[in-house]
Amino acid sequence: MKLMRYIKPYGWVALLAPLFMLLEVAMDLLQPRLMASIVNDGVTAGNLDHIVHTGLIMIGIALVGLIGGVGCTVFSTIASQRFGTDLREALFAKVQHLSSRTLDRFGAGSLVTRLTGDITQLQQLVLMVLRMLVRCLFLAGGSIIMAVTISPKLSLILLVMIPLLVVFLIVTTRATVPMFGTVQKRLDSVNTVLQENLSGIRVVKAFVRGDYEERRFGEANTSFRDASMRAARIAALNGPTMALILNFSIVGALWYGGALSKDGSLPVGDLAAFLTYVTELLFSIVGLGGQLQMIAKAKASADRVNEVLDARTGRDAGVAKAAAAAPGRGLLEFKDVSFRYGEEADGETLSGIQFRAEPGQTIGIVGMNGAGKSTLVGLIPRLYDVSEGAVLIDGVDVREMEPQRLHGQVGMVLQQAHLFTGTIRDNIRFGRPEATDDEVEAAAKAAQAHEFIVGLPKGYDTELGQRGVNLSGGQKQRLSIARTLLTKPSILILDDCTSAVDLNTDQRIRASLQSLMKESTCLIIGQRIASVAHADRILVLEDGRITASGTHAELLRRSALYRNIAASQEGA
Amino acid sequence: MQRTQSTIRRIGRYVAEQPLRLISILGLTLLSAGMTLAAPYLLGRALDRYIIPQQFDGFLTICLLLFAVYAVGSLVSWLQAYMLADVAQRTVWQLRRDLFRHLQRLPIPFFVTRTHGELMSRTTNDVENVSTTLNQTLVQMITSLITLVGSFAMMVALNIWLTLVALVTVPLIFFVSKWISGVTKQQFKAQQQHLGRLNSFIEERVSGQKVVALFHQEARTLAQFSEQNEQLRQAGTKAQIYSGLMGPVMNMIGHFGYLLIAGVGGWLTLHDQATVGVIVSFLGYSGQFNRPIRELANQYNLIQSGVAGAERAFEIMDAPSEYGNPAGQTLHSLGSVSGKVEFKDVSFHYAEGKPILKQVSFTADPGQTIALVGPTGAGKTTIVNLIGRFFEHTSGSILIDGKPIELLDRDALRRQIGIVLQDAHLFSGTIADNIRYGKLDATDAQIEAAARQANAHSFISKLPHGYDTQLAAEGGNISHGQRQLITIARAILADPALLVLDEATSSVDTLTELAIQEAMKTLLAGRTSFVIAHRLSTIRGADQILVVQEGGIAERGTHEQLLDRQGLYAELHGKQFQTAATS
Repeated sequence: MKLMRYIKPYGWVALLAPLFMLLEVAMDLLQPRLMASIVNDGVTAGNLDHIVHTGLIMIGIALVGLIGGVGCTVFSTIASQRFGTDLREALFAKVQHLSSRTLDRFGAGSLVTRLTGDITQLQQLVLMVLRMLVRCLFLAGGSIIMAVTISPKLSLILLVMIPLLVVFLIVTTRATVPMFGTVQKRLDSVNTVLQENLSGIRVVKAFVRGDYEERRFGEANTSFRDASMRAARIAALNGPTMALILNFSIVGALWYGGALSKDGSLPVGDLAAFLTYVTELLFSIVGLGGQLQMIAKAKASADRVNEVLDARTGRDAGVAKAAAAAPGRGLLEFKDVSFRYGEEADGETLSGIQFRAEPGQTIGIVGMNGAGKSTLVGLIPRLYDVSEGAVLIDGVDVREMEPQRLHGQVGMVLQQAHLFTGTIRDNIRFGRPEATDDEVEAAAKAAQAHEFIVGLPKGYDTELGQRGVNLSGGQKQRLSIARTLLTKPSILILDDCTSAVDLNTDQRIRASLQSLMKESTCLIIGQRIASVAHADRILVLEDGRITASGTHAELLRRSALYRNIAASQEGA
Repeated sequence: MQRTQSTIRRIGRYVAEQPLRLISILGLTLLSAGMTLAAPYLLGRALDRYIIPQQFDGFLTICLLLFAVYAVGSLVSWLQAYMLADVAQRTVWQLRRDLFRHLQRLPIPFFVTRTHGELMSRTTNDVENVSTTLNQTLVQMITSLITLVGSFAMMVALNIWLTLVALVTVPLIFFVSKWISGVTKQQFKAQQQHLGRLNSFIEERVSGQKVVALFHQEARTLAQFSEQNEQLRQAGTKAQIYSGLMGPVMNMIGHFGYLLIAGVGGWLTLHDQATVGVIVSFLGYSGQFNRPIRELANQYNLIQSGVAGAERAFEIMDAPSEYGNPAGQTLHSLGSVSGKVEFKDVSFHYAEGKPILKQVSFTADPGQTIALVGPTGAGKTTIVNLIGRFFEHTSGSILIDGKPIELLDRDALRRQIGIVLQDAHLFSGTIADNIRYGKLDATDAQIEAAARQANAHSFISKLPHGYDTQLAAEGGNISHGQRQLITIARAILADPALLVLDEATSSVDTLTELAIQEAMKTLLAGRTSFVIAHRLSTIRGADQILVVQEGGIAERGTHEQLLDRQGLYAELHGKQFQTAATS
């Protein structure tokens, strides 16, 4: 249980909880003892004073027990809540630094579940351990001690009963844990079908596949139900069986106790108290059984959380050797760069990439789908790290730059415009929260977004829904361009980020970029030749290699692929 | 309260669909309650009749009887739990099935206005809550009630005065638990709100992690996260502490009641009003009398969360289905469609006063290709959505083969239309499965043929597992352009009479697009098609080009006619080829 370290800072709180619980349990355990005294010395002996006297003690003890119970609740809650909060924060911080590859491997959906559901589960476990588990253990232990002090002879029965119970608990827990694992897996597939249907509802409707999807969901739903029922049926054995074992020992105690009372070695009140303690033991052991299963369930959550915490971040390897250097001008070099996804992936995604981009230059990159264009530019802000060779900015390897400086210098607009909940202004300001309203507006104007923004009823203060659902694809792309422009990067990368923008607007965006980013190094990936034709140099990428480079005119002469692409767009 | 009751009744109807199991559970519960009540009685008798008078004739019989009572009790309670698990699981299974079925029948705008996370949560977490509640409260309530009544009867039978004493704590339990659960409910509500807010923050930032990293905003994001996390902690701590009070306080009240009975009982025995055995039995019953009351109080929170869960699930089920036919008109059957589509003064708006489409009219003759061009947000996608009845037009009329669209069976209509969307949604499964989605009974050869036509075959066969390559739900293993090609293959396989391509090739490189276009020519031949595209090269061969602007049609005609007009289209066209022309 490596996650224990997250509870350490609150060790004293976590320790106080069981101590208070000990108090409550001790008081609970004293009660039947006093009860016996009332029956033996009060009721049977006809001593009313004794009853009143002992009664007052019992009330006092009940009050102390109340303090213990409340104290335990307070401290166990504080400890478990702090534990959960810290763990969640640690996990979130970790997720932020995962490499793109690891992030893809886990999947955003799964990471969200781990950050929410799994951590809540663990937090509940800590609370339960500190409260109920401790209570059950104390109560069981205490009941045994009290029973033994009342009558060691009678307690011999416990010697038979307890091993039986323990064996039974181990057997059923072993049997049910894998069953609950299956239940969890089946639930995952129910969720998968559901999630896909929600995000693809248009496709389902367009192909009229409602019946088909209902069948698919029905299968997942039914197998989830069957697994749950199987697990629940076995788990249902627990309580009754344990109760049976304990109740048999009560009968045994009664029989044996009856015999013992014959020679007067066991007063009647003591026999009643003994029976009460055995009953107490029964409840605590039944409780323990339930909690063992909860621990088994939480184990799965702990594994899922640990898996993320142990994942390599991929970006932390950077040693900031060149920290002190002044912000550069944006000279970009690729030196014999190769890249492959993972060790086992067959073939290289990029190989032998070599080029240089001077400040103020614009480099266009063209190629077919899957040629490696996005991967190539992703190496610059270290979304991926090179497998061989090096990417240099102003002569410094990007892997050796401080992340702060690297990201301050490189601005990249992604193919998929991802916006956040909040106002339009907040979204544009995302990279530079301190930017003034004028700066925000200037960036929006350059990205040709100003016009549509002011056309909205609340302008820049329009609240965007989740991921900007209330905007069209082209509008989202323009906002994400404005967001990047605001950071004034010395290296600007545009990854096919105007695909949903109409041609007129696209043209205007390019024009304003040309005047705004005069000093910067620009890399532009474009499906449209028109987007890159004005570039100082255009790289033609084919199957991860640069097969030609030059100006638009040169490439029209030299590169067959470029000519074909251009021709395809003229519709010739 | 009224709402709570109707929700409970509604769950009740689901549960009531398994009458046999319910009746057996009821029977078993009665039996088990009987056993629970018999045991302390027998114990008390054993003490009174045999141990105290030290008279052991027949002691063995009563011990064996007790033994039997316990054994039957355990067997019965196992059977009960077994049946109960079945009832609860079958009930929520049905609930999930009905929910999913209804989700399939809801109109598109329903999904636009809600986040997926919320709908997911309602179908799984909330339904799961119902299951937990059923499991833990259904039998518990019956048992509690029976034990309550039974214990009370036994107590009265044993000693009426002691019974009155035992009743003293009942109002105390009632008021204290009402107070605590009242406070707790507020706190839990606050906690759920904070949790919901934190969840959507996490969802957004995790899926946008690349953006956060690119702008180097990790520290600020973490700070925002910490703030919300801290708020959740505070709310959670309060909720847990208040709800945790219930146990110890009830425990305390229990002890108090126990003591009262012991004191009064002691006094009664002194005055020969009761025997020691009666008091021991009575104490047992009073414990059993108080426990169900305490348990019901404890379960109050659980029931609340179960009811809240059910309410959220039922809310989805109560949303109006798009298949409703309120006017009760007879629907036209739709045989084979020739493909004539007419829009007559069609308008559409989501909200009054904010028109999306204004009086759009056009006619597409069978077999024609209609191209829709214009700036983003002009209403192009809305027009094609109206044809598939994903949205309902607000005025005017849309006719297909001369029949008004609202009188056509929705499913029959959609089967005639193939739609390829920009976002290229694929399902988890193999590539072959995804293409087969267009025609479920297609053979492997037909799938490959469709893939070849969409120009997807070459990249698919280069993948290590070819057509059996598993696609990840959120993509990642193939590029967006490649996903678009698969969706085109899917539509080709479906072989519809009407074809809608909504930016179907926006991420496909133009060379590949050119290759598909050859295939498209055969695909489009004989079908009425609507093509939305920004690339004018994609659409210049269309029979009619509609230039859509601000919800209306600004220009219409063929490529040549529109160029001659020197209007908006000519301007768009000029921009696109400007650079290429100057070279």
